[in-house]
This record gives sequence, structure tokens and C-alpha cells, in this order.
Amino acid sequence: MNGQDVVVIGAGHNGLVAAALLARSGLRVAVVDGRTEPGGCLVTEELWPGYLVDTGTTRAVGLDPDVVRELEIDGAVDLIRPEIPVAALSGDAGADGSHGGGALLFHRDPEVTARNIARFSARDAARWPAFLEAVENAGRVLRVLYREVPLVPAGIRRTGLRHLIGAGVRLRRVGKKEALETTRMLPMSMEELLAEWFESDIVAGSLAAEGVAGITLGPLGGATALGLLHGAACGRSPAGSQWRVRGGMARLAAVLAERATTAGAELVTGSPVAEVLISDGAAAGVRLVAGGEIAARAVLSCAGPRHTLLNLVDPAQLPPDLARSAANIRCRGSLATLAIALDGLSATGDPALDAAFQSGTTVRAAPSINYVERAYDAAKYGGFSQSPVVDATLVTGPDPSLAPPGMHLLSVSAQYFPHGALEPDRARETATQAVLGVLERWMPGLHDRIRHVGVFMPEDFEARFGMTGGDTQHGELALDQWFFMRPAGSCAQYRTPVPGLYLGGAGSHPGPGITGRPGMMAAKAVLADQRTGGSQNHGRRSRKYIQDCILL
Amino acid sequence: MSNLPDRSGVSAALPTPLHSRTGPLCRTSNWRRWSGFLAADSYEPSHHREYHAVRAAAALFDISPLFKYRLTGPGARALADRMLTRDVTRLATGRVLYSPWCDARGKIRDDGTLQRLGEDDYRLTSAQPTLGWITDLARGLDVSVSDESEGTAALALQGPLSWKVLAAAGARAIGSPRYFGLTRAPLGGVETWISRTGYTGDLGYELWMPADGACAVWDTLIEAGRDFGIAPAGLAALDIARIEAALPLVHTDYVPAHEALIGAQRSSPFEMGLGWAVDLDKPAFVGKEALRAETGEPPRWRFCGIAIDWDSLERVFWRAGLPPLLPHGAVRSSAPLFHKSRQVGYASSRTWSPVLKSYIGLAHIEASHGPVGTNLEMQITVEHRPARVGVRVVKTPFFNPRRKRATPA
Repeated sequence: MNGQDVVVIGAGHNGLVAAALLARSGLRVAVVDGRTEPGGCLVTEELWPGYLVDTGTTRAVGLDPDVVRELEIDGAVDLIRPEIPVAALSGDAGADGSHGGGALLFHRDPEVTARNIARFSARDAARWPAFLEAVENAGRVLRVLYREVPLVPAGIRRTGLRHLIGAGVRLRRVGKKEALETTRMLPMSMEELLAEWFESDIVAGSLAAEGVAGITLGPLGGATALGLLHGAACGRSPAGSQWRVRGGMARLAAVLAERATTAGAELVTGSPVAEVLISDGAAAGVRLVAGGEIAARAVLSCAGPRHTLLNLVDPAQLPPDLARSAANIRCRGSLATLAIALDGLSATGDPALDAAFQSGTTVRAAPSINYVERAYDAAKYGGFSQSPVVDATLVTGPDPSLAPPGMHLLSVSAQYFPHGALEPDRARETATQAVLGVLERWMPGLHDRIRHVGVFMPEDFEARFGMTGGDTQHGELALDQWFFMRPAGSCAQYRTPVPGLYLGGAGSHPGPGITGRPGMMAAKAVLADQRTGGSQNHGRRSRKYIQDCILL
Repeated sequence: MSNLPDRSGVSAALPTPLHSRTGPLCRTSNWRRWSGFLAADSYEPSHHREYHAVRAAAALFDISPLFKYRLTGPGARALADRMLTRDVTRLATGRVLYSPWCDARGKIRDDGTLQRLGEDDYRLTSAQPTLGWITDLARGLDVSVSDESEGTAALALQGPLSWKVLAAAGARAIGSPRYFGLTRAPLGGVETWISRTGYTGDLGYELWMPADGACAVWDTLIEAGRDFGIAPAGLAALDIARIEAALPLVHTDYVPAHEALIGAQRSSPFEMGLGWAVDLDKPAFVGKEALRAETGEPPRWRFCGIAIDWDSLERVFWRAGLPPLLPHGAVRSSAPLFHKSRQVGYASSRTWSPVLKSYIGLAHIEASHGPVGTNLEMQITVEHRPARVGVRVVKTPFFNPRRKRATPA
């Protein structure tokens, strides 16, 4: 095991993607993870006999096409993509429980969706195709940036002029107008952006909920439009077209792990890392909590940047400015997931909604922008949403194998239940009651059908997956924690000021969403340095890094 | 406009704990602002008597505006060692060391002294507010950092008779601490830390006491010093003395790295003649990698002493029909230095040295022109016109009496 070229910390999807690519390039790679199974938060557990529950990530934006191509993932897992990704419940579910207008079904076919929207607003329906186009244009602009190592404005020397010009040309190809429009949209709040397009509460509320999923901000918060645009860049349509894996997310983890091991990478699971070893100012391997060290010429951490920089690296080895930046990375988890086992389903009185629900459509309780913002208000002052934003998906609809015959499994993600607000048991209880309260209004009688409930709070994400603050994004996706500022200026290009130490998890560009892109890009940075002998050339290299990083 | 807070009664500079003593003495009202506090530039219309007290008797300076930080706990030593470029681990209790400290690029942020008051108890002085930087560096260490800048007053007693004054004031029994030593004694009933340090290059002491006891210590020293010609002295005298001692002044001789606007404004310890204060053998400290890399390259700058040639000074003034005009005190503005037609550096401080009878300066000079004995030219202004006078690179400190390091009995 000793004498690796690269040790990858974290066998999550990014770590596995990176390990596979590095091993394929002929490097000796070990992937070290504290969990017993590879996959990180791509994990499926038999919570109760016969029930297979995704206890980490419940749905994903989707692997990056380049990752899929390079690792030949296509066809290796069976993806579930419902025809109707989202059904938005209308009416102020928080106030009177009525869903007067019925549900709005967002279909993968925009024309069908427009027809559905027309029931709420003819004007909004007419605008739907143009809105989709505008968001997709922004997605195309961001995709240009997402495909590249982020350009660091103050470090053009480091970024390389050719690189800069190349990105400029590609941006130009997308369109100057589109690039400018994207720049205008980025700092907007979801509310501001949506107000330019839609008048009906339900359309705006549902889209707003999509934009703020996973962050601790409401749709009136500055630059929350980023969530929507980031999704678009990662190939998600505004109303949500996330996918699941038939058989559970662990199937994808298994495929990624297989790609890594087949390429020659060694998986070291059940071995949490205690420390990144630094010798002579450069990363030299890792020390395990259980004792023992793995020596390596480079260390690529796909753990969260805060955890890596503040807990795994001796603070004396970091430039003080970077230590401060790392401590300032906002990691505020407030997303909870629930797995609810049901012994039957009751009809809601809306046959179209029931049909969609039973085929795997995510039913969303976010009937207006104000509803979502009010849900956030509680978290803003450190409390729990009483009427949370809820996404509920009957995962056994399209995939009955996830529960015993005749039984059903409902997968719920809900916010806002901020990390640390309540003592853990009370937090679980309070969140469960709030979520069930919302679901019950939509599906009366649900309560009597419940066999089991599993709740995963931000504290659980932190304890189980090492996500600082329970933030599933490894640092909230916000405009100031994005692009060349993700995770911090001096680490934005996957390299850190410590020679031989790299960051390549969701906390690095382009960020969260189970895309695998950060891992892939980080692996390329490691490879480039190994080829040029970067890590053997500490002195000169580090000096340049240090110079550049202070420029930021 | 009416919404603006009324600040008519708010002073732009605060009194130090000694203001009730220094205020009435400062008959010139010649105050400077020092870190937001009122500091006398000179108490008398001319600073000469105050300067000569430093070199011939004993001068008493109020240096309370210095920033002072207390580092306590098991991690205090590691914190200081992580921050300063010198090896702190060898500093014994009751000793003081001078050191610069750098940013991660190995450029100087500030310099100051570190006193080891006890096993896990240190006091760091700095010219600039440094609490944020220290706190950042304390991450992961079991140490408590407190800012005692306002709670602790400080006096500098400097000059050949300073020990006699201190002994008469009550420190005789404990004896003088050795050069860069530290001890404690009650002065005027106030428990006072006494360090054998200073910023004048003379025999001298710096005294550290609780702010509310500062006046009692001052009164005791003034009383005890009456027979020894003690004089309260201001910054004008101090500035001349520190140039004679070749001690750099932040913001004048170097720009703190974190305030520099462009790279060229930053200096490394090597470029400031402080290479002796950089210990590359100790474990990681801020700026180590960059400093180590710098040792592999020939230095670009040297921080040198220069002496201005009197004959050429006389000549350029003679051409304008004037006798040589000397600056009244230390000059804190930059003057370009030339080798033939090319600029090779600049003098950052200069002064007429009354004790040496010589016009001297501290200068940043390109390394190739830095050796002692090199002749250059300095541009000055004579009757509103630029003129060049000859200067020679000389050894520093300009004034280096044996008593600077002595331990008087």
C-alpha cells in the first residue's frame, strides 16, 4: 500500500472518478475513506427488512457528460427519469390546506407543461418556452465556464493567456448577448428573476424551491438565481429533472468503485484519515486514525475544503489568509431527508396527480415564493420551518424492488431545518412532525399508512459523511463561493498553497450536484503536475503559488 | 446633514495613561498622532535638549501607544514560533527577543519584541494592530490571546545614566537585567516589568506597567532622575536616535506587506538587513517557504547606512549662494540614490547626527551597489531645484557605544 503516487481522500463520487482517471493514466492510486463502503453519500441501506433506502443523496443533477463518456458509465446503471419530474401543489398549503387549483404538472415536454400552466395563467403558459430558452442559454454560458479550470482574474499568469483566450472564444460562440444576460441574471434573487417572467404563485413558488434546494437562503435572498442557473449548467431543467438510480444510488457507487479498482486504484475503506502528512512543506501522504501512514507524492482530498484545510492539515502549513478563508467557507446545512415506509396509498381526489405520483413524480409543496421565503424565515432566526418546503417522491412507483411486495417507500427531502438549532432527538421529532403535517394536508390518511420513518438531519449528514455543518454542498453554492472563489481564491484551480495537496470534491469548481466534474478536473490538475514534475519541484513552485495566492 | 452624529466633543486622538503628566509638560503643543494617541513630538521648542538627554543623561519617553499582546497557555510558544521569523523556542523565561514577522510571501508585515514573562506567558509588542493576524495564527493551538495595548502603559528610559535613575527609583535591589533581559520590580509602589531594551541604540530600559499605575512610575522616575538630568523626551529626539542606531521604522523604512499596494513596496527580512533574524531551520512558520526560496537567489536589495559627503553638500548649496542647510530633525521622506545616471535606490530616513557630527541616512540600495565604501549620489532639493550630493555606503549602526549592551552595576 505504501509508496503511492496519489492518495485520494474520500471515496465519494468525486474521489472515485478522480481515482479512476488517475489510475488509468498509470499512476498508483489509493482511495481512503472512513466509511466501510465506497460511494460517499451515494449509499443505499436496508433500513428495515426489505426496504432499500437511499440514506445519503436521494436524487442527483446527474453525472457530467464528460465523466460519463470517459468512464463509460452509459448503460452501466439504470437511470429513472420520470416523464413528469415535478408536480407542484397549489394553494397556500400553509394556511387553509386547500389545493384549490389542483396540482401543476411539469412535464418533460415543454408544450405539455405550457398547457398545464395555462390552467393557472395563460400569460405564464405563453412565456414558458421563452423562459426555458433563457435559462438554457444561461446554462450554456455557464457550461463554458464549468468545463474549464476557473480563470483566476488576478492570476492570469497562472491561468495562462491561451486558456483565457480559449474560454473567451467559446463564450463568444455561445453569444455575446447570452453572456451579458447571464451576467445580469447571476446576482438576482430567484424572486427577482421569476417576477420578470411569471405572475402565478405556483409556477414561481415551484421554480423558486428548485433554485434554493440545498442552500440556507430563501428565494428573496441575493443571488439565489445561481441555484437555478447552476442546475441549468449541469443539464437540469428549471422545474427539476433530477434522476435516481434503479436499485438505489449505491448501484452508481458500485459502478464508480469498479471503474476505479479495475483501473488499478486501491480502495482502503473503513479507514478515516487523521492528517495529511506534510514533509518539507509538501504533501507526502496521509496518516490514518487507526494508525499507519500511506506515503504518496500527492494527496487529492475530495472531502470538504473546510474539513481538509482546517482539520486535516497542520495550520502552521497553511498561509494564514487561507486558513481564515477556509474558516469562513459557509457550510450551513438545513436540508433533511426522510424515508417513509407505507403499507398503502390513499387517493388525493386528483387522479392526474395520483397517477403521476405513483409513477415517480416528485410532489412539491412550495405553492408560492412567499411560502418558501416564510419557510426560510424560521431558519434565518435559527429555528425550524413549521411549514417546510417539501419534495416527496414515491420511489417504489417506478422501482418496486425498493420495498417488500405490496409496500411503498416515500423519499422526502425538506428544508429548512438548520444544523445545530435543536438537540438531535428533538430536531428529528420536530422535523418529522412538520413534514408529515405538510404531506397530510395533501394526502389525508397518510398517517395511518406509515410503517416506519427514517429521518436524516443535517447533523446526520455531518456525522455520517463528514459534511461540515451538514452542508451537502461542501460549502453553500452562493455567488461568493462559486467559480474562482470556490472554495477559496488560492485553491480555485484544485491546487492548494501546499505543494502536492489538491482539492477535488463538491467544494471545488464547479460544485455540487453529483456531477463528478470537480473530481475529474482535479485529477487533471494532479496529472498535469505529475507530468511536469510539479511536485518534485517544491521550492520554486510553492513560491509562485504563494505569490499568486496573496494576489487574491 | 442633521443626521450626522455630533462628534464635536470627540478627539481625533486619545490621551495616553500618562497624559496628565505629559500634557502640562508639552509647552509647545507639538503633538503627533501615534496609533490614535497623542504623543509629544518635542516638549520644548527644540528637540535638542531631549536628544542630548538620550546620549548624555537619561531621557524618558511615553511609548504607551505601542501595541501589546499577551499570549498565554500551553500553545503560546508555538504561536509565537509560527508567527516570528526567529526561533522562539530558545527564548528563556526572563529574556526578550527582537524579530520581524512576515506574510506567507515572506515579506515583512511588522517587527517588534517578544518578552517571555513566564513558562507559558509571552508579551509581543508591535507597531501596528496585529490582533487579527495573531488570532488567525492561533487556530488549532491551546493559547489565549489578549490585547493589552490599552490596559498596559509603557515607558522607555534611555541614556547612559538610565540605570542610575532606575536604581535610585527603587530597582537597585534587583540589579539591572542583562541586555535583552527582563525582570520585575516595584517602582513607586507599582509592580513593573523592566526590559533591558530600547529603540535608541543606547543603554536603556523599557518599563511595562498597568495603565492606572503609569503616572506613579513616571513621577518616581522624574523625581529619582532629577540629579541625573532626566528629561521627558518626544518622538523627534527618538527618531534621530533610532536612525543613529540604524533601527528601521515601519511605514518609513518599509511598508507593511499587508498594506502595500504593489509588490515593489514589500520587503523581505533579507532585503531589510534582517537575515540574521530568519531561522530557516525551525519548523513551519509563516513565510518560511518563500524565504527559503529567496536564499537560493542573489538578494535584490540591501538596507544600508549612508553618509552624505559634507564637501559636496557645501558645493551644491554654494552654487545657490547658500550655506549648507541641514534638516532640523529626522527626515521621513524618500530621496533617490543614483549611480552615474541610473537610479539604484533611495534613502528612506535621514538626519543630521548631533553626536557624530555627520549627515546620515538609511537606504534601500540595489545589492550590487550595497557594499560598504560604494560611492553614490543622492538627489536633494536646493532652493527649489534638484541637486545631487555624494554619499558613501557606510557600516551600521552609525552610533554603537559599548554601553548599548552593557549591564551596569
